[in-house]
Formats: sequence, structure tokens, C-alpha cells
Amino acid sequence: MEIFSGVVNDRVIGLWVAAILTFFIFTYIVRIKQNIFFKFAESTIVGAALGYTVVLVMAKNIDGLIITQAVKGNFLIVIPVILGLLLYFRFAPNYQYLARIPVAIIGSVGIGVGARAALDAQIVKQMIAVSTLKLSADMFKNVNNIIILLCGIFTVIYFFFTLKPTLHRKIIPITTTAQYILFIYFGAKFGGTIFGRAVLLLGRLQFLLFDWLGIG
Amino acid sequence: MIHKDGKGFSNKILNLDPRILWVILIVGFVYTLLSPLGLPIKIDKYTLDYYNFIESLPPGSIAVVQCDIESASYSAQLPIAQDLFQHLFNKKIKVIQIALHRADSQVNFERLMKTIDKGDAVYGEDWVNIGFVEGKETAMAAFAADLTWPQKDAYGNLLENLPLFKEAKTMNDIDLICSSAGDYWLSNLRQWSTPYGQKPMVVNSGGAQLPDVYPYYPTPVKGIMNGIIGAAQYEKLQQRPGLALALQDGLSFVGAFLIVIIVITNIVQISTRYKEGKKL
Repeated sequence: MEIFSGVVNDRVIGLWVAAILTFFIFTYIVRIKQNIFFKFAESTIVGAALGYTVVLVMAKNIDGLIITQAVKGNFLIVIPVILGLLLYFRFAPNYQYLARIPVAIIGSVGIGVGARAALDAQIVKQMIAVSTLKLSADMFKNVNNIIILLCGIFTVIYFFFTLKPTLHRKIIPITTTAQYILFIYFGAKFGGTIFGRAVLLLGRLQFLLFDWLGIG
Repeated sequence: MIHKDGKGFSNKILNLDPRILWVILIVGFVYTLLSPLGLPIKIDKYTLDYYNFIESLPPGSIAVVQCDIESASYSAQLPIAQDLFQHLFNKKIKVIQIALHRADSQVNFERLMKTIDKGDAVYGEDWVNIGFVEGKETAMAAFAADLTWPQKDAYGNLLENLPLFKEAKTMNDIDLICSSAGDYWLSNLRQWSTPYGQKPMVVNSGGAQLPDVYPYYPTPVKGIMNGIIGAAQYEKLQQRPGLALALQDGLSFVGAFLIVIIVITNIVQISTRYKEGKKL
């Protein structure tokens, strides 16, 4: 086993640190609550990730975007640089309002860029796909398409709050069916989440068994 | 077996110490890792379509891969990303890799690439690692309009000097979008696929995103690799047993264990409420 061979190199140190931090995180399972070991590992991970991100983003933005653009003669890069620096006025109580300018620009540009594509990709194309009944020679496919169409219509009606089930009793079966459709969706998502989390646990056990202990 | 009066046993089940469940899970996982059962795997059509679409691309096609592998879910994302990149390199498809949501994915990508057999692929001509670029969807939109917008790759090379970017200038020149970024696949759809004429996509989805991806299949999403299960199927298709196949038995154990737990607790819960005369 590499970790017990007596050889000390960066890989062996890395394996030990990773294994110890993994056990610290696992202490949450034993006590089913936060404890000093868990908090230590959690803070270490958060701190390391934040430090790495800050250094990487600063280096990439300053060198990659600002200096490279300036060298090319694109001096318009000064505008985003000034806007970026204005963000730091958040820490100057008398000039905090200046920080709102870049925040407003970031927010509005972000929403604009996101919304222009979201409307088309997530709403228009989706609605067309769901509402167009594609019939084919495959009966199973046809039944599947009809189910998708009905599920789409029922779920939209469920969120159509103008029709109150108490007043319009005819829609009760539809809204009840839609409720079950939503339950199936949430159940599928929940199942998927559980499997995703299980893989994380499996990955740590795999690391402990195969990488750290060298079994197998 | 439920206790005669339904109370003793049901109380025990409903107030079970979660640590017992954890122990069972961990013991089951360790057992399946050390003694793989080799349970059969059925390849679903989403994985098959994913594989077939990449197979259908001629060598020299260009793929943009958003590969955001975060450290916290490295073990879950690694096998999936490994299968994708190995297939792209085997098919001699040119790869532009970029991370847009997680800074730590830059270091994780380096770890991933050490496990990939790149054959005779040359850096700069056949593949480029842009690394992490800040800016989320705004950056994605700018990148799609001009692929050299991030200016430099992860190693400090100017993108405009790399041969690959002579033939790939905007998202219009790209043949395939690969989303290996967990929850962020939707932003690939919004910024890269839909605005550029429903550019074909393949999605590596974690299990939780799967129901959200289905509505976009088969256009523009040509195939879906559903987490480790999908990756195991992909390894079988590629005839390259890897990490995902090794984890498959453990996941099957989780599935079976959860079904048993859900069924038992529901029976106990319903019978308890029935005996207490409450509404089911």
C-alpha cells in the first residue's frame, strides 16, 4: 500500500489529507449534526475553493481580457474596468450609490441576454413541441405522444388560476390528474437526486478503498 | 413483519435511527465495490442516440464542450465526462473545451485529461482547453458570437493564434454542442443551440436534471447520458469498461434498498393511520 510504504511525496500527502477530510465529513453521519470536525472540513473546502476562484478569475480577467485587449488597441475596455471598480464603492458608506450603476448594468444585461433566448428555447419551442401531435406508424410512440400532449394541457390548466375548482367543478378531475402528473415529475426528480447523491458517497468510498488503502 | 397490534414494530420503523440506514448503505456499497455482481445492463435509446450521433459525425467535425466538473461532484461527473471525451478523441472530432460556471472545473479538467487517450491529437489543432471564463450566460453569448472572445486559453496562449480557431470562428462553425455541466445544460440550449438554428446538442445529465431534459429530445438534444447509469451503458457501447461500470452494482443496490425502505415505511404509515382511524 502506497500510503504505508514510508515514501513521502505530494501524492501520498494528498491522499492522506483527502482521506482525513473525508472522514471528518463522515462524522456528520455518526452524530447526525454539525460538529467540530465537520465544520473544519467544510470551512477548509469553502475557503480553498474561494481562494482558488478569486486568484483564477482575477488573473484571467486582468491578463486575459484587460491587458490583451489594451495591447490590441481596444481602449473601450476601460469602460468595463471602471464599472468593475465602481463595485468596490459598496464598502465606502458615503459613495455606496455608485456601486448600484454596475450592478444595474450587470443585472439588466444578464436578464436581457438570458430572456431573449429563454423565451424562444424554453417557452415557444416547448409549446410547439408539446402541442404538435406527431403521428407515426409506431403505435407505442403515438400513445406516448398523446400522453405527453394531455399531460401538457392538464398541467397548464392546473396553473390556470382564473378557473377556480370550487366554482368550475368540471375541471376538478383535470386538476386532480394534473396533480398526479406533477407528483410523478417530482418523484422522478427526487429519485434522480437520490441516485446523484449516492454516486457521491460511492465515489468517496471508492477513493478510500482503492486510492487511499490501495485495495483491489 | 408487522407486529400484532401494529404499534411496537411500526413505532420502531417510523422512528428508526438514520445511522442504521447509513451503515446498511455503506456496507452494501463496500461489498458491491469489492465484489462486483456484474448485473446486466440494458442500453436505453437516449444513450444509444447519443452514441450514434457522435458516431455519425465525420472526423474533423468540431465540438464545443462545456465541461464544468465541480470538486464536490467530481466522482459523479468524472466517468460521464471521461466517456464523452474518449469517444470524441477516438472519432477524431476536434474539441473546444470551456468551463463557464465553476472555477474549480479548470483543475478538475486537467485531472480528467490525464485519464484520456488522445491518440495523435495535437493541442491547438485538434483540441483546445479554454479553461474557466467568468460571466455566466453573458459570457456564453459573447463566446458564441466570437469563439476567440475569451482571448487566451487555460495555458496563456492567444486563441486567435491557435489553428483550430482559424476554422471555428463562431458557433455557426460548430457541429456539436456537448453539455457536461450538470444543471447548466439549459444555458447551453439558450445561448448556443437555439440562437444558432437549433444546433445539435448532447447532454450529460445528472439524474435530477433528466426530467427537464426529456422535452428537448430529439431536437435539439440528440442524446442524453443519464448520470452514472448512462455512462455505464456508454462504456458498454464503447466496449471500454471503466469507472461507471464499476459503480453500477452499487447504484443498483441503492435502488433496491430505497424501494424496500419506501414500501415498508408506507405500509407501516398507512396501517398505523388506518388503525388510528385517521384519513389515509
